[in-house]
Amino acid sequence: MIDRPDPRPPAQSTARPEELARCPFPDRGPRLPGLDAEITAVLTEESAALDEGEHQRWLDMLDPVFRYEIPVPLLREDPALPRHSRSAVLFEATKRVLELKFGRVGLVPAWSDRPATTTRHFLGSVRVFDAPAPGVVRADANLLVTSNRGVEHTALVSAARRDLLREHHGRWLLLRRCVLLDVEVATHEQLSVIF
Amino acid sequence: MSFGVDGPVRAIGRRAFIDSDILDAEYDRVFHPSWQFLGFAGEVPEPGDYVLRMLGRDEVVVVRGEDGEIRALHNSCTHRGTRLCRASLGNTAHLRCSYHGWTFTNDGRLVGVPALRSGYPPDFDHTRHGLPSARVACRRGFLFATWDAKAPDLEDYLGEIAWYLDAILDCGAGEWEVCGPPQRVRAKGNWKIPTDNFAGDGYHMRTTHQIALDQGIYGDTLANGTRGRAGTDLVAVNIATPAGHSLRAGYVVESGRSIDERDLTAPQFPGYPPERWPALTAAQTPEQVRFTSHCEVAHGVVFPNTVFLSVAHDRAVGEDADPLTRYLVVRAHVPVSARETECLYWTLVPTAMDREWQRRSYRFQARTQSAGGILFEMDDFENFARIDAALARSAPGRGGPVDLTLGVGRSTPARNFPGPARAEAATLSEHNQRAFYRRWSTLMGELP
Repeated sequence: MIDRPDPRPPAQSTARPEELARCPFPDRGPRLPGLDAEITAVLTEESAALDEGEHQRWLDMLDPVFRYEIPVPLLREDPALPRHSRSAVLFEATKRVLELKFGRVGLVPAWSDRPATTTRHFLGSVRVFDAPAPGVVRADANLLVTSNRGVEHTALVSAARRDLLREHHGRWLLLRRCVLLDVEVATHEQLSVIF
Repeated sequence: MSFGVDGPVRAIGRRAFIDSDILDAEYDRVFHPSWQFLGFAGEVPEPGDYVLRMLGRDEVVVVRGEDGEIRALHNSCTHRGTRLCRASLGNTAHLRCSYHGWTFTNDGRLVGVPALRSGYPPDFDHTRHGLPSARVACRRGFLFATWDAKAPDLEDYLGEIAWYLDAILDCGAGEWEVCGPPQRVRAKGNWKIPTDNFAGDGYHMRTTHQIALDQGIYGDTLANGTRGRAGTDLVAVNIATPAGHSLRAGYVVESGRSIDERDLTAPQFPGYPPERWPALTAAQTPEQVRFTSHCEVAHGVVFPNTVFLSVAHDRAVGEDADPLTRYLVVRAHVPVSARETECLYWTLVPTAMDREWQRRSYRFQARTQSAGGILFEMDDFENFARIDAALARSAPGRGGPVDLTLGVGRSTPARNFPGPARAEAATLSEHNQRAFYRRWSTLMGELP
């Protein structure tokens, strides 16, 4: 098998939001520029929660069916082909996995979390699109993250980020996040970042 | 520096892990005469499909020719040395140089030289300018290659370890499929550091992965789905061959019992669904079942730098409803420099399992021991980086050589163990690491 696409069908316009967390990542729907500022504000708060170590605040912004994935980058000859695998991932997580990750931070033998890493998320070019489920939007953004942990761990990562957000009782929750790294082969310091 | 070639290897000098002149010698003395793992035939299923891989110092194009044969061609034009393939994967019938246009078929023959008749001497022999091609052997879809014309055949090179690799594969009751392109990551530390970890290091589990154990990510669920491990022990067998290959297998047995006392009238295969166990038993020989039954984890090294891991991980990494699930990952630890290693990870799934199980197996690998496995692999990377940082900040000779004596004189031969090569029963031992470094030392000899 070499980069076989997900055989499951893409979501239809009548999909339930939960299905969008599991099916192939939906294409962009019509552009919704009127929501750019509102969604940018949500994503800014969310990035700040990560950078400031407010892990529970960040987890509270995730939908229970949240799905996080970093596809394997592919350097291909043909520029028309996708630059990231449709099937292979460098990392994949549910909300539960991320709760376990942040549950480590207060524990003394969390070797890779102590000392803590300082991250800064720089978010830009947020554009909001419709998504094929009621109350769900897709937000595409550019992301630059710095990661520092002592003199030997200074990492810079640039990526495109594709998010699905779902409106729930008057607030937006992250339903899905797909991180498309620009670098073909990341370092382990770069991959230690929660994007 | 002595590498211990005159006796049992119980220590390795620290500079073996940081000095670039050691890596230079390793390329000639360790990598060149060895068969190295390149990937899987399934990555290049169609004529013209190629991937780029490293074979010792050399980048090679692993390409399936129009004749269906897979070759490893040096990725460098025979005119000025230009890199021919720039992409990491693709499909092409010809490799055309971007500088002057020399063109090679995907079996390595030079077939195009601009201005050949008008500009080159009459005796220019294009057949002498084909791309160097390494010896390639495909075994059950695993692709190995060597530049050494005098190296033994792959089967002889693998020796006894092949029996164990076959048993792990046969336990899947059929063929295996590679899950997509490999994950890749660059990690700090010499290539031997993660490799010796995979050879047989059960010793680091309780320290490095203490939180993973506490969080129930590993070592919590029994093969039949029972949560909690009261009344059981994980006991291990270490197998190492003179060629430096090794395997460590960990078995879940009743507390105080030995591996020999497993109930083999009802074989268990942790991480595979219990309803599949009879079919898995039927797909194996009785000797293979005696190796694979009750085995929760098996990991090891195909010398020099290929490692494998077959492990059943707990549902705690997935959804609560997820059962104990096994994955099989094969890795190559490719030197970038003496102090940096590129790790490539291929996850394999048995085609006999249903698609949902395959997907879950791959997800479990991605969440734990993938390039971005924040719950497990990151703590290993942390240690490899800490070793590298400390060795690089040490005066020569400070701190003494790296110690390898764990288990010396404390293990016993595993009774009635089915496979070839000497099997030592010892849950905590550096038996396999000693075998790895013994082979490495023999090849390295004294430094130039």
